[in-house]
Amino acid sequence: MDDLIISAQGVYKTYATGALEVHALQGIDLDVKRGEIVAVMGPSGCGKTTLLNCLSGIDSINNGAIEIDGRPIQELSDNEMSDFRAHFMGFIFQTYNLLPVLTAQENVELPMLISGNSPKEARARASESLATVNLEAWGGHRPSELSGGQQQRVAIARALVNSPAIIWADEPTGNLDSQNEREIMGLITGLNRKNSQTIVLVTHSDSVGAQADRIIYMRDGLIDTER
Amino acid sequence: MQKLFGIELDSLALYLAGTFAVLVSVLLIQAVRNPILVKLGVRNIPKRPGQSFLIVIGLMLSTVIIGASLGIGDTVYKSIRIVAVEGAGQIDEEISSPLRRFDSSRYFSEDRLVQFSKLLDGDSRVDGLGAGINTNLPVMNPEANRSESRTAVRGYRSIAVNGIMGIDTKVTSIEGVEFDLNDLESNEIVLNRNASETLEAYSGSIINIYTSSGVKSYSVRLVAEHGGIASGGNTKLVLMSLKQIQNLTQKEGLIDEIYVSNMGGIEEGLEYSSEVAKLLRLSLVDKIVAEEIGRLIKSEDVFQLIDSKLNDTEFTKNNPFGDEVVENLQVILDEIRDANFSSEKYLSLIADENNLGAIIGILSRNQEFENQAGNLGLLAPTLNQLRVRESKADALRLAETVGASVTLIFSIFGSFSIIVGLLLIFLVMVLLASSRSTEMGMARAIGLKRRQLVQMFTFEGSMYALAAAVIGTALGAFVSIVLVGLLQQVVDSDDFRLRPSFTFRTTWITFSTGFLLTLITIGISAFRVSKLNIVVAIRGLSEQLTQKSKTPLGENLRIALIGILGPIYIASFLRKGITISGITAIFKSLILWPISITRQIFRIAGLILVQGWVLILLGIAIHRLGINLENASLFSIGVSISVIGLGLLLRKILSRTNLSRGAVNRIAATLEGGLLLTFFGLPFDFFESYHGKLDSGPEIFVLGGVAQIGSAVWLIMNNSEVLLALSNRTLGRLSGLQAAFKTAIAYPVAAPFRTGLTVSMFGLVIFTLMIFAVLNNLNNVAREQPNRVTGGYDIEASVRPEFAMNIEEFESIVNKSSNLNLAQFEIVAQSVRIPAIAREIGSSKQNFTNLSVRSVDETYMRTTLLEFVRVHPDYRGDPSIVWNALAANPNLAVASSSALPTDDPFAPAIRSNLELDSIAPESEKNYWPEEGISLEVLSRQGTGEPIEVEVIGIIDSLADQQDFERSVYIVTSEAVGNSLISDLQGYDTYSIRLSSGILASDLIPYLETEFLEHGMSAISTIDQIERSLETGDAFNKLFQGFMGLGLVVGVIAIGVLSIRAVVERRQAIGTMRAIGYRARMIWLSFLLEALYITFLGIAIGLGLGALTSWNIFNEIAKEVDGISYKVPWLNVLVIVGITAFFALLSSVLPSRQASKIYPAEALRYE
Repeated sequence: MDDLIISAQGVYKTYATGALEVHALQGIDLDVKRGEIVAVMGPSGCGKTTLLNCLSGIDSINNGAIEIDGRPIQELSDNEMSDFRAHFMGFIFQTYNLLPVLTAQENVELPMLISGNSPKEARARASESLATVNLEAWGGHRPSELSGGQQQRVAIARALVNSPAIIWADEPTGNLDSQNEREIMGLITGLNRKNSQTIVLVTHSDSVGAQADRIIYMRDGLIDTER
Repeated sequence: MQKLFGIELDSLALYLAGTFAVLVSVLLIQAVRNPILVKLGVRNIPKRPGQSFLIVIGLMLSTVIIGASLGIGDTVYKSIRIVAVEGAGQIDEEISSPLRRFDSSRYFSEDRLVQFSKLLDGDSRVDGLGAGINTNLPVMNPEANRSESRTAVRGYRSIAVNGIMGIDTKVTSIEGVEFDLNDLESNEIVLNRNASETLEAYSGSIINIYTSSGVKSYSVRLVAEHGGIASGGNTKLVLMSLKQIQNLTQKEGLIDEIYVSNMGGIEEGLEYSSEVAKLLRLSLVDKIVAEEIGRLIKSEDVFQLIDSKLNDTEFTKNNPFGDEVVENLQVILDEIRDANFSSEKYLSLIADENNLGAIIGILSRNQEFENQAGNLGLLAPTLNQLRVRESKADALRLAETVGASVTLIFSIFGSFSIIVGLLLIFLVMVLLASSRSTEMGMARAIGLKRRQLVQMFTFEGSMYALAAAVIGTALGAFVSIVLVGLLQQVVDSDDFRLRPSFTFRTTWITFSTGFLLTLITIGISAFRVSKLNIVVAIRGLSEQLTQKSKTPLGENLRIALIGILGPIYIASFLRKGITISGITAIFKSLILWPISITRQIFRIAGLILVQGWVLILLGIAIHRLGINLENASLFSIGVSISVIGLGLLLRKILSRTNLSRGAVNRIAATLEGGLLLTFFGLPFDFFESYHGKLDSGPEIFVLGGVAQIGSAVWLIMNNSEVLLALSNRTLGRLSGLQAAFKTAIAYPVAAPFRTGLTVSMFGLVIFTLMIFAVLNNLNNVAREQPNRVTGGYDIEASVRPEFAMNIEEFESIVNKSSNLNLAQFEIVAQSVRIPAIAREIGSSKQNFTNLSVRSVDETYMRTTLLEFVRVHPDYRGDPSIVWNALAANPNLAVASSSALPTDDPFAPAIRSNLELDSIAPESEKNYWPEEGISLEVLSRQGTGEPIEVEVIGIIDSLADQQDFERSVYIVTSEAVGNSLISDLQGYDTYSIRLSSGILASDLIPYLETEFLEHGMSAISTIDQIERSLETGDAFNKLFQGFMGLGLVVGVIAIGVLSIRAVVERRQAIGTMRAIGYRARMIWLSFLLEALYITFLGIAIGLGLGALTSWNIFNEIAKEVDGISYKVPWLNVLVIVGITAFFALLSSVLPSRQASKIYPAEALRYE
């Protein structure tokens, strides 16, 4: 089992909103191999994003165990988890989630600076990363000056800049047209092939799912089927 | 208090009431017409009580500051009024000699009392008369061995008028028993409680009273409670009958004052004061002199000059004479025009020294009329045999003046905080709108009009404004009471107790001003936010994405023309057919026509002004007007308008190039900010060669401060990219802080409007605090170089003129004393001050004005260490050269620096003291007029031949730093004093330098005891400096505290910004946490952001404060030698530390809240 990078056993997650309890995850068991692209699909509200959040440690779980690269993340402190994310993971969101007040270059530099790299090194690596997504000429622009597709590519550059082992992508093409969808997915799969990074992505799109090594279908907080 | 900034407070209250009524009515009518909008607007208030509470706190601060300023004015006015009314008791008018209070020839016959009694008999406005002698004498209680060198000793007699018993000569003993002074035996006296406590003398004690003719013993009949003729406060008083005091002072049949009591109680009598005083003056005026004065004035040119002065708005705004004098002058001029020189109206008014003084004052300021002014000045002292003072009314006028001055000072310095408070209101409302943008966007999407959005927002805002005005008024009253408490400690006198007051009128003015200012600011911000783009608002996009293309000028003009034509334009459509809707539209547009025309005029004006060149021309015109009117504020405003016009014009020109809109704005804004900053930062006399001398009032301080801070912020915020790059390259390299710092700076830089507002708030407050801190520090020069103040003498001792003694007598008493010996005294120099009038020979001002002549002995001239700020070229070098020249030549003199003209904007507009015209305020330090400076000096009565003295030096202004009245004097030889006063009784002031090792504080009690019979009062000069500096420091701290209220506003602004930032950046916080920011880094980032904004404001405030204080310092340094510009770093560090600490504190909670957001939870918030 050495090639397992993500291992989730009996993961439960419940949200309480006032008197109402929402059982978002109801006992998820999931293993992901190193270098694998896994797509999580299913109807709205089935718990896809919650699963991604819990696996990546940006949300807590009520029960169960999650190991990333052999480390049980529920046992990590908030600081340790933050550091772990900074060094080991990259994130791509549907709404890009770039910081609007920073330029594309600065957005990409941020994870490097968080990891304690010097500004010079961060700048150099960010430029490389932007070049990887073909945006080297757009580094000085703010997100509001970029198209949706360009913003998502900046987000990918940001996710890649630290060479993380895992990239979490929550509906990475959800806000894009089909042309941009193809380009973004081309980038993601290309990177997977080139760097053997593990990619877990949540999507509604069958065409995106089709590019994954494995598709997990979820329903009512449980894994329904796998393909 | 009746006036503020020259506006009657009653009128102000009425105007405010009118404006309030109109605005509230409009609001109510709109509310009734649009109940849904009211509901939509107001429902937010109870929904978020915490937020509503914070908004009210933010909105009320301006009101608090306004209330505090007015409340302090009320308190000072009431306190002085009470002292005045209680002190005067029943006495409304006083008749006395025009000679100074303790001049030995001030007495006049007691028969005058009977004459006045006959004059007033049958006059229903008067209910009593009295006469008395009021003097100061040494008093001792030998049994208790307690003495008081200067005790007030007063004797009274009353006389009935109209069958009513005259001035009340009764006192109430501390046991509560009434007693009439006329019932005293010839060897009995009454002590007031203060005197009893000081002398430890009680009923039955024997006390000695010393006069120039010997000592007399009296038995204390009783101790009187304070109040009425027993006075109060700190006054130590011995009371007796007139007969007794005449006997004691050997002034049989003589009195020095007659008292008149008007009908009614203490306050009711005031009503008749003016009329009774006129009647009395009429009986005392020399009709021949009055006619001579009238003839001197009677010329069309003089009438025109005085008329133009009285009708000049600038003059009436700062009327230095008071409204009554202005009214009287009109009547006097009318009477003189008709040559009614013997009319009662003319005689009674011209006899009032205030009226004649005002005429002389106006004439003397105009070169053409100097001769008339000079001749009038010579006639004035001979006009009245006796002087009539409306003592109670005058005291109340003084209360009014002081109260208004205190309010003015607090208002001027407080105006910085008020402006800061208004900025906060604007910021709060903009942030509030920003938090509602989605909701407002939705409302617009479903059909709400822009006007309705403004109304909705204004309805909500008016509720906040109302609550803020109510709470702010209450808190303003509270703050004024706290500040009054501090002020009382500064005043530190039992003589004068501050009695907190916050009148109904002040309450109303504070409330309505606060409410209206807040509502207007809310209205402006509502209008600003209503211009939202619906899509941008709903989807939270950047405004940049939806910038509207500009409407061409032609199209704009077409719209304006349609608006102006209004119903005519609509009527033109009726050509196609008359319809009911068409008629209705015409009817509606007819009603709204005036509004439409006004609106379109503003639109056209805006369109024209925005071109820039019109503003440039307007600015040039205003700045020229400023030069012509010699008004520095107008000049500065004119230049500022031109600079803004230049910026607009540059935008127009650059917009035709390939430069981006951002670049065009940045270049133009840099030019505007840079030029304005340079203009207002230049030395005050920089443009003097261009515009000559300009007058400026305290408002220039506010104008300059606001303009400097505003232009600096404008410059920086429009070049934020440069600031960002600089910050990143310096602070952004700090190890471990890079990531947190990057976002901490990027966010405020990306929101220049909010950041600029907050930075301005801090900048304005720190600016004023910095100036205060630096200028306070300048006072320390007196502590460091005390000889420049004391002349090197340790003790200043004085005796009453009638006890004046020569140096041999002084030494003889010391020799006889068992407590003193001559070896303790290194130097004893003598001097005497003589009131006089003088004019400068060859000056354009040829009227005589007040001057105090200080005649000193040769020892003083040979030993004084006082220095000079300017010296005649023949006497330059060591100060002793000048003093030796004075000793050698009795016709030489040196003048106080207060004789020099000043361009201090806080100095009084009209001076009654001598001003040396030949040295202009802007002249070089070494300048001395080639023809020299010579004075003609006359006794205060204007009698005798003028004595000519040549001034060869101006004394260091530091020597007069404790003289708050800035009295003007010359120091000269004994010979000049003897020429001025024929019966000068000798020196009465002794400047003593002690031998080494002898302490002034040890010697003073012995001096006062040994010289008790001479009524000696001695002070330690060093202690006096310390006391003066401490009082000054305390005042400055009080002002710093008051202005520090503005810091509260800034700190709240930081808190408000932080709270809003946490809400707005929730998703960004989630992203940052997801990519690896630790919770502490988020917290740090928010704190750094707050600190960054705070320090930016602090840096601007400190920098510009230092620059302005440097300019002020240079102006002061022209007059005061030896001062150095030092920034009091400790004081500055305390200010910066306190500001930064509270700014941090206000952002700690929101920052912690931000750091605790769980990433997934934050990311869900979209």
